[in-house]
Amino acid sequence: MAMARACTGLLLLAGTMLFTGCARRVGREFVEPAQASTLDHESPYLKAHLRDGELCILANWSVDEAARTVRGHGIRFDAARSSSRILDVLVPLDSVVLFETNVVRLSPTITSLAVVTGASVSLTIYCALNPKACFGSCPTFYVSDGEREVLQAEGFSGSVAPVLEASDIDALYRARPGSRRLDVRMTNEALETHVVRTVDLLVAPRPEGGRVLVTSDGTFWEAFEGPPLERASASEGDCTAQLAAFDGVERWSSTDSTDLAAREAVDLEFGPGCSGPAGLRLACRQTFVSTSVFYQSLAYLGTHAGDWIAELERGSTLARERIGAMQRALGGIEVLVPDSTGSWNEAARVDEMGPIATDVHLVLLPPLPAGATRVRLRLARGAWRLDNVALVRLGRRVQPFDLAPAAVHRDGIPDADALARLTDRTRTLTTSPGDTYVLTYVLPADFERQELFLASRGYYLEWMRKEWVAQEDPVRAVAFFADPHAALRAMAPEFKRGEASLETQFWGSRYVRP
Amino acid sequence: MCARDRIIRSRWSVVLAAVALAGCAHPPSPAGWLPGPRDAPTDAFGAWVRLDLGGTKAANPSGELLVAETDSIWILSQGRVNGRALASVQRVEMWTYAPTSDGLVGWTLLGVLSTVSHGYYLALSAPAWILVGAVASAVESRTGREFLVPSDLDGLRARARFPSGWPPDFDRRTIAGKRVEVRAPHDGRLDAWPGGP
Repeated sequence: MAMARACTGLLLLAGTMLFTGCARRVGREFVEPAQASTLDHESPYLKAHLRDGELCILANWSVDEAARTVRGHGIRFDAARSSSRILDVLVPLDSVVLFETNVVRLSPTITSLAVVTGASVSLTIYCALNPKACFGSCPTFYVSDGEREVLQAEGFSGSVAPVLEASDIDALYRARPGSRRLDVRMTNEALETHVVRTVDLLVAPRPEGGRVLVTSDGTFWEAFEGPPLERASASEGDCTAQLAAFDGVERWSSTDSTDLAAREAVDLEFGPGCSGPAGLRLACRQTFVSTSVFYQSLAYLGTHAGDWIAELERGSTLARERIGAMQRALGGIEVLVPDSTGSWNEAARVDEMGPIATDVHLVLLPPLPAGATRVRLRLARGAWRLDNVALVRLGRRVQPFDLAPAAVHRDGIPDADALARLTDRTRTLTTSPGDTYVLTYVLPADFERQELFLASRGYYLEWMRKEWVAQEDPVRAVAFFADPHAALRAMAPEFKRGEASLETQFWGSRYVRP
Repeated sequence: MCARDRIIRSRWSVVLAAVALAGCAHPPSPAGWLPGPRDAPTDAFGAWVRLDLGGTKAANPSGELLVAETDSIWILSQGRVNGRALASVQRVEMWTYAPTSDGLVGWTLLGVLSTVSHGYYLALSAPAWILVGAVASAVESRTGREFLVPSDLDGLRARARFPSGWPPDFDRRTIAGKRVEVRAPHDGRLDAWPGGP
């Protein structure tokens, strides 16, 4: 299909050449005989309007000012415009009332279309060569931050088959409801079929001076700001400024050119004074790496991708293990703390998938020693974007309550069927690319003091792209799942070559930003 | 599902393109009467004009501009010489050649259709094509058109068949217009323009 796209590009180019020939303009000038010397000799034809109503149209024309004549080969028309072909015409200037020259040029408006054509053909070729850069994302959720609608969550990103249906809790950390009514816009912006079972709000009372955070295993804790981040360093040097605030300024690195699973460390140092139970607040999202690896696996499976999904559905433990092995090879973010001997021990791990929306996680830390707190993050190079890391003091564990949507609208019209599907856990709502639903929730009266989380459950089916099928390679597919580490090493050089442009193109292709 | 949605999306793109391109100007002359840009340098006839008399467009007379004089303007319309007092004319819409916007419309439609190969970039590339194509086509469709005020006598004369006025001893009843093959609007048969415009 890459060939088909290339053909589309060539067709567009051919059409461009065809139509370019049609886009012309006429530059016309009128000159009185007295100014015959100023006639535009670029004009291949000269029209001489004679006083008796006749007209001479001359080619190869010239003006003889001394003889006060115009000479050329052409046609002489009488007043009724009957023509008589004459090889040589000699026209006295005195008999001419007006000369007319016409120069035909390419229209300047084609410049704009030529620019668009160039960009369009480039895009066609780019998509032919890099089909995995031309797609969207998982189910996405938009909620107002008090000023504008912001992409705040993406649901069940790892649930790529019915059997992998899972629940996902995302903190709506930036949500700022203006009233008891909260609208959540759910969109399908990818070439995927989303099967959504539930989209509920989890609501927990926010403590005075603190927030409520959720851990990866779904426990909710009151959290209060702890000592500030004093220093953060990674291979590129100091990255404190990027990590100190949840402000959209992210710290990220590029992948290793020999191994996509190659690890790196980010060392954090917080000020002293955090006594009692503590945790790490981590705002992050994945980069393009995991998604690209996933799509590459589908490309290798090609026409057998359906067999693979069916294998999963039949409960094949082997298929599940293979998926898990690849996820483990890329890994999540390991949070390490030093023990009394100075060795780094893993305290927890963040595995939340998805490259679109930045999610806020809580990682529970073991009892911290007095003095400064040191934490190390270990993660695959180039695989994660870190927005904010903060040490928090933990308060009570809290139990949020569940809010189902009170209304669902599609294209501004109430959709009772969608509402029924999203509130009946035995049923699902299926969405296709371009579908948008607005889910409305009724919050408690003290909504301003409530922490909100989005709990979605479902799965999605990736649409096989024709370009992927073209890359079907059963041998590499087997190798990919049999030895994920080797596969990630094999993929690294090719990914590295296109890494910068893939990121740019991926985000540039979207009309939303995290 | 994928193919169906893409087709629907493509159809919408074409519809949008067609709507956007509806902003093109169209000459009031019979189809084929005006020369294209390539033929304009060798065309022996006057410009096609529509005289704005203040009424509706349809009521305004149009035809080949024959003569512009200080007090009157003469056009060849439906095979007959038609004279109007210059004072009754508010504005003259003048077409000297047929614009080539059709080519740009075709180019744009081809471009819009080609965006089906862009995957999700279509959301950006198709509107870009439609926007740029619509503007370019609309601009291009107006290139052969000028609006002149009656007081611009030199401008009118220059584009008339007879810039110096009626030829001496010319029998106006014998004047013939350009003959063009046009498609009859209702019965669909090919016919010659009746007696010239």
